[in-house]
Amino acid sequence: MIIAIGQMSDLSFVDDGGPRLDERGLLVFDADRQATTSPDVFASGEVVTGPGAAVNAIASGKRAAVAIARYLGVAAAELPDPDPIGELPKRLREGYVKPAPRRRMPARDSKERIEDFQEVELGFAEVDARCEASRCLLCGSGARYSQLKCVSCLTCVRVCPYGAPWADKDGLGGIDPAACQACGICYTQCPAKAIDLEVRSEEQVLAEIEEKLAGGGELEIGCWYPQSRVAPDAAAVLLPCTARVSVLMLLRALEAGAEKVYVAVCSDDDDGHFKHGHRQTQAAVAEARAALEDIEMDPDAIELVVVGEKKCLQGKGAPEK
Amino acid sequence: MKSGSTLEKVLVAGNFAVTAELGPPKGADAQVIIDKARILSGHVDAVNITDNQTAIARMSSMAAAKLVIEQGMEPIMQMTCRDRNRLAMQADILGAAALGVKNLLCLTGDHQSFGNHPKSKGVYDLDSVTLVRMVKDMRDVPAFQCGEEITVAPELFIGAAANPYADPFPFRAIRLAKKVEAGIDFVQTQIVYNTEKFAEFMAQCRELGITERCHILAGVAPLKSAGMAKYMKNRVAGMDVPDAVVKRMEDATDAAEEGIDICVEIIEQVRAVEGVSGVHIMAVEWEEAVPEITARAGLKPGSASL
Amino acid sequence: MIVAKPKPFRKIKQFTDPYQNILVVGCNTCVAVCLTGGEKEAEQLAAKIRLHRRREGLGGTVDTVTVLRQCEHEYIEEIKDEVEGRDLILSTACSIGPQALAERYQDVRVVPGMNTKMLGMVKEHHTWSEYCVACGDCVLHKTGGLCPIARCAKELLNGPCGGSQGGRCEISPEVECIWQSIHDRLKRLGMENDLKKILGPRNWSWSKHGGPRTFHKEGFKP
Repeated sequence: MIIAIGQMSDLSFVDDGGPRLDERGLLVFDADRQATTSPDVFASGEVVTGPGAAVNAIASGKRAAVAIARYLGVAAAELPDPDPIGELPKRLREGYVKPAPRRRMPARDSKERIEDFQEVELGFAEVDARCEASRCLLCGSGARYSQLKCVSCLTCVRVCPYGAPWADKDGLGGIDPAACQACGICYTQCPAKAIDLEVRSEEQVLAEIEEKLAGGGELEIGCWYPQSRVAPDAAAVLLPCTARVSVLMLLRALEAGAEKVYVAVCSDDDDGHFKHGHRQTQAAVAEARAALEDIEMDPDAIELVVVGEKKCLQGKGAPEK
Repeated sequence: MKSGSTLEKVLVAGNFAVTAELGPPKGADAQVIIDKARILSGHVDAVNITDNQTAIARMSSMAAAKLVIEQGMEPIMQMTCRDRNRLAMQADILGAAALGVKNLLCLTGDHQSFGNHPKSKGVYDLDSVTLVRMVKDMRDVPAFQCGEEITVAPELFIGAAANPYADPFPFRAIRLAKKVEAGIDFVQTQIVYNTEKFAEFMAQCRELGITERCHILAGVAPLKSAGMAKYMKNRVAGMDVPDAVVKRMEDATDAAEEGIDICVEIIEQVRAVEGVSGVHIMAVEWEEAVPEITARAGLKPGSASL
Repeated sequence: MIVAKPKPFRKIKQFTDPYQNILVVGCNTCVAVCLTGGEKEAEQLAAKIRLHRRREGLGGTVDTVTVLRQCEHEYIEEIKDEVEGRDLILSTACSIGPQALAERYQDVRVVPGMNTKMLGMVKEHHTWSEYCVACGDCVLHKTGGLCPIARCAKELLNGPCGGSQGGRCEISPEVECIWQSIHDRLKRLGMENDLKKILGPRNWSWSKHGGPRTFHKEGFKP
């Protein structure tokens, strides 16, 4: 959690004999060595740069860590040189990703606020805050691909709605992280378990399912976007998209003692955050239910429940001005 | 004479041949064959004895052919590639010839999935074309398919089927030419309802020289009901029943009568097509219709005037 | 690629019910690619068997292991520790897998989890069609590169038969008439004359009909 509330650095603890401060009250700083004017004091972030982007402060912190390591004689200390993120593929820029409209922040009326110095913005209602948070693109949280386990079956290439996976004539392939939207369809369909997900991996989800079902009961494997719960009384394991629900997950939930498993799904005519996610969810649930019929269990132990109106995507949750 | 069969004599003499169909029973009852033969006797030159027709197990065509011979009629024994390999086929060909069978119709056969044993293994060691070639070599070399000599050759008049209505249409006459090349003496066609297309097919056959090298008998069949017409139109692959024919069957007060009328008209039309040497009347399980059709079409067996 | 399909579960339970210590062995080659018997499917099947056994009060253990290819000695050797102590191996490979496992693990019963269907080509994702029957005498050079032995219901060499209609086979409108396609392709290539040639009879002794076949790589004595 990064608290970005516009506060300033408090360097009052720096003594006269310590690192020097400049006229703006920031530490005097050698950017190449992340060094202050005191030889054994290093610095990073907004105490040297002034207000800026959090990600720059984080990078600066990493550089400082390397500088400290070198100062302490760790020879191999070096920062990896990350590949610059390329331009977003054209197809993604042109409507591949479903836009989630921005919430309008409620604010006090201008006539009222010229009278005082009180906070202008009134803050979001919970649902709007959640909707706003769910606009996150989940960059880098999606498919994690293992060339070693890959059997070059091309399933991911064929099923990905975003064209993120690729394979060449030698069967070598990968998944373009810039194109991956983290829906999980490729993970669910990969027959060789060569794809997992960076955030909420199979192992994590299976562990969470077992944990939530420690005392039996009902389970919802649902969508983590706001207003998407379908069985509010059941224990819940929530995923960015239920396209990530595999047959194995559903069977394991029953093995773990679930009396009933609800699976949230977008309706056919109201796709959610991800393209075609609902089709994958429908297929997995149908397959799992068929498996239950095979073993003469009531297939209704696994139930697909359509998520109602997704206000976040439609911008309907935004308050009027 | 290659076989000395009546059918061969009729065709070689240039008489218009009439053949019909006799399906063996789904039982060991010889009387069924005898009864059907009696209905057809005197009205046709020869009768086709089907071989597990539409892949439904029945009395063997060779046994039924022998029963027909005993009734004083001439059989055209059908043989499909579906149920036997080349060993069994050659054995049956020699056996049939020894029993007095003189006409053999070589077919690939309907796929086993259509019949009453869809779980059976289809053989298809040969196809109709290579079967024809094998029978020809057995008769003319005479040798088995492997090249070994045959002591006494089976004297057979070799036939095959042709379907002008299957796809691709431009290939149908070419495929028949392959059968001619392989060695057929005569051919019986799929049931003709679309006479225009049949005429077009015959023109292609004439162009390829087929009509000079083999005798073509047009297949005809009386429709019994509008339901049968629709079924054949919509459900039977390689069958072309024009809408006008279906409509006539639907509008008829006596459908069976109308079916025979249509059949007689078609016989008249195909008879007028250059290169048609006879008709093959397929009145499956309606043998009684054959004498009526031949009478109304003014057809006498070609053998009557030999 | 070999295409195999899982046996119905009523068979699987018949095979597995009498045993207590079962190992489901997946195969990560052909059957993984055709989405029926790879690591994921093997795990899924094991979970299904466990649920079934719990319901029926059968107890026992059902575990999973997957090898890259069950048709290789070295890979199936690798799982000897997992096989140790088992009373049943259920293989989700093509039928080569259970046989290879049976030969290697002589004291363990081995049952097939799959029906091996064909040598196929993916038509669209999740759909495969038969392209080869390993007949041992390829005729593609005579048939426009399309196989009438594997892809014609009657294995015709001089087709199409009288049941060809609108490019479809008489046995089912879902089946392509390969001879229509052969015809069209030879025509496109200006090779119509090939259609007039009589092909066959075939030498089936090069197929399975000649007895089980063994193939030696030229130059390497067995």
